[in-house]
Amino acid sequence: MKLTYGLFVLALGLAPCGETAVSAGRDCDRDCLEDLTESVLKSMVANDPSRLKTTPDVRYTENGQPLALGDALWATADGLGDYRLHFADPVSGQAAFFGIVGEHGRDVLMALRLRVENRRIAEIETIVLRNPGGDAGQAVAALAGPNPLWGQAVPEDERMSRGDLIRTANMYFSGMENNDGRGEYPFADDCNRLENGNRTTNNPDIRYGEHDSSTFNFPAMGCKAQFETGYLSAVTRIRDRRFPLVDVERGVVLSFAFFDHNATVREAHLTNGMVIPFNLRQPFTWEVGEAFKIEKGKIRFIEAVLRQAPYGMDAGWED
Amino acid sequence: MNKTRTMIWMALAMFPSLTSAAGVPPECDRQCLAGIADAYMRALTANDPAAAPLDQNVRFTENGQELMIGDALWGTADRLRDYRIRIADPESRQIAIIGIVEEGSLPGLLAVRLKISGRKVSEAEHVIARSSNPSAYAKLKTPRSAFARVLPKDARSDRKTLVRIANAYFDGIENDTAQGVPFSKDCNRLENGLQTTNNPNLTLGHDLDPREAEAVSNAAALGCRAQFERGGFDFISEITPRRFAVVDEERGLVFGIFGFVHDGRHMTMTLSDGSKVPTPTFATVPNNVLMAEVFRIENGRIHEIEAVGANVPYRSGTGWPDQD
Repeated sequence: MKLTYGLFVLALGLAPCGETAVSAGRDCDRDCLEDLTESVLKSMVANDPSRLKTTPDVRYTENGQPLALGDALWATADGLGDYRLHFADPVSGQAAFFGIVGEHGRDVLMALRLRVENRRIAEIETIVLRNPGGDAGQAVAALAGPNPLWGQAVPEDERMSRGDLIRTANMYFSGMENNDGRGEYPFADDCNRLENGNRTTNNPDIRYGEHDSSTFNFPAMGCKAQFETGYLSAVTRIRDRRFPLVDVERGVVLSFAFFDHNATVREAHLTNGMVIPFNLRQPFTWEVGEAFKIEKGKIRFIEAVLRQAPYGMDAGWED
Repeated sequence: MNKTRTMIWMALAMFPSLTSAAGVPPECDRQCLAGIADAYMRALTANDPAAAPLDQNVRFTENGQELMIGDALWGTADRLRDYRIRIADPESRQIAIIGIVEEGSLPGLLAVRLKISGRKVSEAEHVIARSSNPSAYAKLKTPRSAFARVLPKDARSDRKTLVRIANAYFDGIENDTAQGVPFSKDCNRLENGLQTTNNPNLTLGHDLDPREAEAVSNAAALGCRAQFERGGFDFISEITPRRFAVVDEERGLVFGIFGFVHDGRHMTMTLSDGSKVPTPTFATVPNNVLMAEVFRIENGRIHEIEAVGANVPYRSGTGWPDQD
């Protein structure tokens, strides 16, 4: 991971005028990006990609696998849910969406990312969470709607640079990887996290692991308190971190990453002295699309779409 | 001189059978291959790559993903159960093993393909079907004995024919026909330890809705040929890639790695008699099964089939170059 992080810092260093370097999509503003996103959703539900405005060499992946336009969810989608969370970055020409798509009448959860070039779609990346025979999007579908924080602009004099926003989001991954509770964790006091529609912070109603939750219950804690426990040490590597969409106006970063669990960590040694056993014996990876709302250098809200992937899965995209 | 040497190597590479045809013993014979595979498996369960006979440029994949030796099953394998099928191929310097590995209390059905260069492992490929149920695979004690039987010379097929027959099996699935697929009458298939032919009592370990349960039972009750004639494989959109990697002519075995593609587009399938049955639930969404599969072929007919399948993303590859 050190290498990836090193490269990432290097990339920022090499592109001091990052705004011009990524301005290819500038002719497509927030509304234009949302319209193109909606056109993809409509095209999926119609099972017909033919009228989509794409570049000739448009690249499309579902769950990291390059596919022909029209394949996978494009062929099986039959409806759209009410939950629609849009993200836009007019500077880099990136748009994204978290929401529910119907597939054979079942709710599936999708994270969608587009890259736009001259008002044409050049890249389409999806993470699709399914549960054959059930509704994987159940928890999201039950939400009243996206957190209003996502749509709120940050006062102009408080806006952070693209580089600082990405650096803050990356600290989330660096803090989780081999988590020891002793890193720098930039969370706001009122921070919360949604994972596949489930609130996994300040939520005593859910439990992790098989230990006695009366003495330690991770999901009942807040964002910062969770990271300060050292409990997430079973996440042995967070790799192929990408931060393709940055919305300076709203303080939003959308990222993609892979959380590898090599399943050799037998117990968590918490900073409070407790030892919590892990039952994890089989290596696995979370393929993750994760959005961060960041204000004044602190993460206030996190929303993620995660699906289980083969351990060590190839990312399918490069930086 | 360099040029001459290159040309000789090229000739050898292009005509690998020249060496054995000329009576030159292979670089690593059956016993040598088995010894290296045993050493590999011992090192794997000891979580000790240094104890394995590895080439310094060894390439390793698990369930289609390229990884460092030492990672994945190399870090978690605790022990191997006794169940073991071996497919040895001195001509291509490869050996495949099917066995059951335990990670803690959880078993995984494991297929391993090794390629040997200079008596070292230069390619290691794992396909593992992990179970979250400690009692999974408990019924797999001893492999069907025919896998180990050396065939009389007149019951053997050559390499090319063995591959052609196994390939005809996949064509038959894709085209929903038994035509051109030479099944023996006693043919049976195990998939992740479940007998999926001549087994009306097949249970998949979880509850199915009654219509699907009936369809599964009706299909599983049939033999290999009758299943193909029934035409219930529509949920498999394609089988690609097909990599026939390890061939054991003496025992009539073909082992390979195959991508079973389920495009998830249809909730029902039409059988060859015109009746409709529900698509198996797992195949009602786009996904792939990465399949390691061995066929035993005697007198030109398929007798035993055994498969290890891992769930992987829709249309993901095998992690190795496709075959021509």
